[in-house]
Amino acid sequence: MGPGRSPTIRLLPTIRLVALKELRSSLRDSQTLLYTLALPLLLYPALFWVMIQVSSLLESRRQVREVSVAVAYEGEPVAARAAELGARLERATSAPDDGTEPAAGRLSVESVGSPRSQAETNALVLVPDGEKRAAFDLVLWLPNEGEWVAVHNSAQPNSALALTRVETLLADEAQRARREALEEGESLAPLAVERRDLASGREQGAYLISVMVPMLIVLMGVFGAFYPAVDLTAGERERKCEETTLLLPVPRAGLWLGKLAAVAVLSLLATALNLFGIVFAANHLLAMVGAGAIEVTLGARELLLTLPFALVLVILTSAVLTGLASLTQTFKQGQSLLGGAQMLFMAPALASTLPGLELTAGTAPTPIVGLALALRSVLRGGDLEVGLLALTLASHAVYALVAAWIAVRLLAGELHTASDPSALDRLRAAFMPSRRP
Amino acid sequence: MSEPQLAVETERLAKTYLDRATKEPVHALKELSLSCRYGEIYGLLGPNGAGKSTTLRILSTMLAPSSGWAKVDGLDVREEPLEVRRRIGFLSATTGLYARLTPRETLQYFGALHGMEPAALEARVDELLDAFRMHEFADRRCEHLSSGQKQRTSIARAVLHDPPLLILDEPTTGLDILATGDMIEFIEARRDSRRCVLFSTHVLSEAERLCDRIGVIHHGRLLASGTLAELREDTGEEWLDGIFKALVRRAEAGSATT
Repeated sequence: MGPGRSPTIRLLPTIRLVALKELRSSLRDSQTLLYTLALPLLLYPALFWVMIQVSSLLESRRQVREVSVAVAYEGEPVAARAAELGARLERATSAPDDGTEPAAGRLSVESVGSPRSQAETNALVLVPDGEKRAAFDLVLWLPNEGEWVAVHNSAQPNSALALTRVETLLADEAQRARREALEEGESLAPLAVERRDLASGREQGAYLISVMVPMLIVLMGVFGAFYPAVDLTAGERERKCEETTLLLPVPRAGLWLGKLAAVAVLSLLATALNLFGIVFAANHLLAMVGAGAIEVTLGARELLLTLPFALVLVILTSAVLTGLASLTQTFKQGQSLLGGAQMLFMAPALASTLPGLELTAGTAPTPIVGLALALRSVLRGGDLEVGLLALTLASHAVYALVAAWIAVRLLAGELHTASDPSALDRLRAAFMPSRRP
Repeated sequence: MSEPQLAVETERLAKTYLDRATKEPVHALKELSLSCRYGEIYGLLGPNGAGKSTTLRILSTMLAPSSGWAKVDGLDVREEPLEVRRRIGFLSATTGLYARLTPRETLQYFGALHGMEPAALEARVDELLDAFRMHEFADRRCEHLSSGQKQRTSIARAVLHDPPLLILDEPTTGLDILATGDMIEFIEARRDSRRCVLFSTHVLSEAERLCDRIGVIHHGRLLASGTLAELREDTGEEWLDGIFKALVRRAEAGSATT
């Protein structure tokens, strides 16, 4: 009565058809487009732009903020010196005639003579009860002998700002005094050191990228897989399409591998767009902060070498996140579970940035840490330690395959209809079928 | 090899779950034996929680039986699930449509996974779009369709590969009067094409109107199976509600004495 038997089990065509359908479906979803494509592309340029704007705004406001400084002295032997110093500080911080702000910032300087005690000096900088500011933000106290004292209050922002400005001005003052003294002696010339950097702008850029990009690639791999992983598992369950999928006359492994492939493609796409966004934003940022000589580019060699590591990473993240999301019943549950599970990737990615950590035979097979260190090594350029890179790639490929196998087992667990199954129930059903009642 | 005479056959079929709250086993199905022939509409009648959906899900390979066996078109559901799925069309309130695909894409996707050749698939899709008057919304995403349009798309999806067995789990639940009428007409048409329709319902009038044979199921047990006339004769009751109550009373009296 029925159709003839199917001649072969069509695993690969099934994976392709399911993956294409899931991609088409996901790319029609506005939230997936936002989280997987738009955000990775725009996140860093937007963040950098906001950071620069906020930093410029804060700096300009800080520049025009006026702080008050009192010059005090212990006794007559230094009175003249104190007066001269006060006049110098005032001159250095008075506004130029062209209406611009003084380079050293605004400082109102006042001489308070010779206080009777140290306590009286300190009281000038302490904020009295009920007041918002102290009489002075800083008191520069000149003793008859020994070092000068800058009395300040580090808990007060204006006092901290006054200290910075005064120290800068006094450093300039000290430099000027040294130069005058050396010129009078005629036998000594001031010591000057010229910096000569042998790294090219491109090499500096490569170093910069190798420090920040590996961790971001890992994070973006996770970020890119997060939403599709939930959408294609718990989301499908919530939309009541799980049974529709289970009825398809194809091997279940093909169905679930197709879903994993779709999640991995979206994750890879997010990673690639993110990388593009970082490079674009970094160049823009460096130009804006006056470090335009540093050239942030990714050459064909670096990109080609990055690809296999990125591929293994997205398969691993997609398998882990999709497998975990399949344990949940609703989109909300899926998001909650994966929110915590992200730390499985984020913590080792952050750990890989620890100073002194290098790619070795010990770190290479360490999950995620090895991958991030290998990416750092590849992006830095120069001679590559092929053996260590191969070890990293091979070990992570094994982790990815194991994760994919576990994910398929979890996804292929029997449909639950009798009661609302917990994540633990689903785990049991996937790995201990004999424990099913 | 001779063709199987029965579209569906089950023998002492049982399904037991573990209740998460009480940690006690729940016997959703107890030694259920039934058979359905081609060209027949068989109705599984019972209240909510009787075991109707569990039976249909075992037959469609979504659930594995705890014991006993079930065959569809002569194939064991546990041993040849892929072949079984090729031979059934399944429709229920929980077989939702993929929201972001259009009806045409949905049919093309299922057809491709059923291994249909592209030209034959296109012809079949056009045929179903005509048959179910779907041209107007064939290229609109399913999430934007009305419930009637979704229903027609779901039916088209279930019969796309012209399966010998159509399994319908409470097919009229949630449908308005017009959509219910369409569904009933569709089920009757399947009998005329010598296919088997196995459907579950708790709507007595539907069962009386449509079914060639009815199986009454209660607490996971098949209490009786036969034509409406046979059930009337067996219980002495005229209408299905009376027949159902009489069978339940008899079963409860029997279990009280054993």
